[in-house]
Amino acid sequence: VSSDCFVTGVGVLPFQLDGDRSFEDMALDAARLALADAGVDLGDVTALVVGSRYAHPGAGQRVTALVGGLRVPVYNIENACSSGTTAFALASRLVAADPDEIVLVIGADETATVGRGGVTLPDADYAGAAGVTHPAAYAMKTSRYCATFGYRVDDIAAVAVKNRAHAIENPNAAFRTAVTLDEVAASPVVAEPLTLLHCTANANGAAAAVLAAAPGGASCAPPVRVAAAEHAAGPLADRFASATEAVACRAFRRAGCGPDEIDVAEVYDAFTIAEVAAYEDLGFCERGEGARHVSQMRLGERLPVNVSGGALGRGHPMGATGLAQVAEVVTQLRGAAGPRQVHGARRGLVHTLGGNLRVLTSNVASVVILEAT
Amino acid sequence: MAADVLEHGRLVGSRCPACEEVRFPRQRWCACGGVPERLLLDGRGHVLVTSTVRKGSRIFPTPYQVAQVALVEGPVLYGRSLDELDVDDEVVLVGAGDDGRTVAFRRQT
Repeated sequence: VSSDCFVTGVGVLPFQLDGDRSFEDMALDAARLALADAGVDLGDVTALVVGSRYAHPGAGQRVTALVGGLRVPVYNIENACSSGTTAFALASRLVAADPDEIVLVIGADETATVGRGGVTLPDADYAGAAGVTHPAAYAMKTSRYCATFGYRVDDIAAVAVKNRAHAIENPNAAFRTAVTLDEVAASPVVAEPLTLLHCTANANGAAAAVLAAAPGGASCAPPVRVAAAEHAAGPLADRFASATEAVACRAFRRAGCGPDEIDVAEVYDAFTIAEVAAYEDLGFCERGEGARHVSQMRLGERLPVNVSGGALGRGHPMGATGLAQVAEVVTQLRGAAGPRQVHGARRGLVHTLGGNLRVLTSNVASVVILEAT
Repeated sequence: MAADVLEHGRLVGSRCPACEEVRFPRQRWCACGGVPERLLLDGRGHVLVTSTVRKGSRIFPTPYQVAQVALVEGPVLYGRSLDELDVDDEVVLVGAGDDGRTVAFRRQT
């Protein structure tokens, strides 16, 4: 028997392109925000889960070492861009297994500091050693997608235009200015056909959430129920479908709903083509139709996607990204998103991919479904 | 380094005797229960897609081209182009770099 799990608090720090704050400082500040939002004292926390791609080993202990008297189990998660979402999924399972748990989840990274000039690939990755950069892999995916389904690169660039427009209303986003299709096309080529504005930017940042089996006190913000938090890893055959497809099926089954019942979504968009592929993998549209649906995913349209600005608008401190996605959907489901509120949002979805380059698509996919209470 | 990927210019993959799946990189165990056997791949294939990298590489001076190639045995992999390649070009894998262990492709002659 598993108990319900609620997100009772969230917190996001402003993401910074040239931040000089340490991993530990950012993680603690995000934790403070999330605990205050949940109305929970630090001393009530029973477990800490930390997601980070680039933190030094013992990420969570580096945080608890700065907190006098905190003696809780610590779980450190590294799953590339999906580190934060994986940490969240693990936390939800801790709560489901034991209703007395109050789990603090933190995602943080100093990606801007680590990755100036581009995040390097591990030497052990044969593709990285052959000169295939992350943007190059997504560039090839873009070209194949366009050739297979008959699109122009501009159709994919529309994702960057949409998400940057959304980011204007997100005070925590690193990029709060609009871009046009012409500006995307005219930005420097990174890997043909992808230009700089098709790609997210390395950033420093942190985000956090508090999960518990009980909805929390009356004075707190409305809790949001975790209807599903699914995750899968493993190399996949090279095809347009990704790990997302199987994980999404499992998540929808567990949540007892379908893709047409999602009101708001934060999906992986480190590169524009990733968001288009996600529409298809998540079942928001048919295979090959994704690029035709970008305009329907704007705020005010059928299914607003990446209203926070996504990684294209927020910047991408990898460990923090998943929890920033969760925080956005939680805020939306509370009806507290202000000028970027999706009206009447009752059910939301978070999707994050992570992976190296051994396969075209991904070797980690996480899908979380959240419901208003 | 990616030491076990290439051997004397041949690509090291594997074939599972139980499910007959040929894979690259070499698999040590198969979810079907089989124990894949090491297999030197033929190295011929055709280009699925290419990209010219213009920024962000710490490995090679830019620009340079990379390609995704489907091998005749089935596996799909990435590598650097040694010739200027186009989609559907017939290529052969070669070991490039000082140690001959970097995956690269040349047009078949």
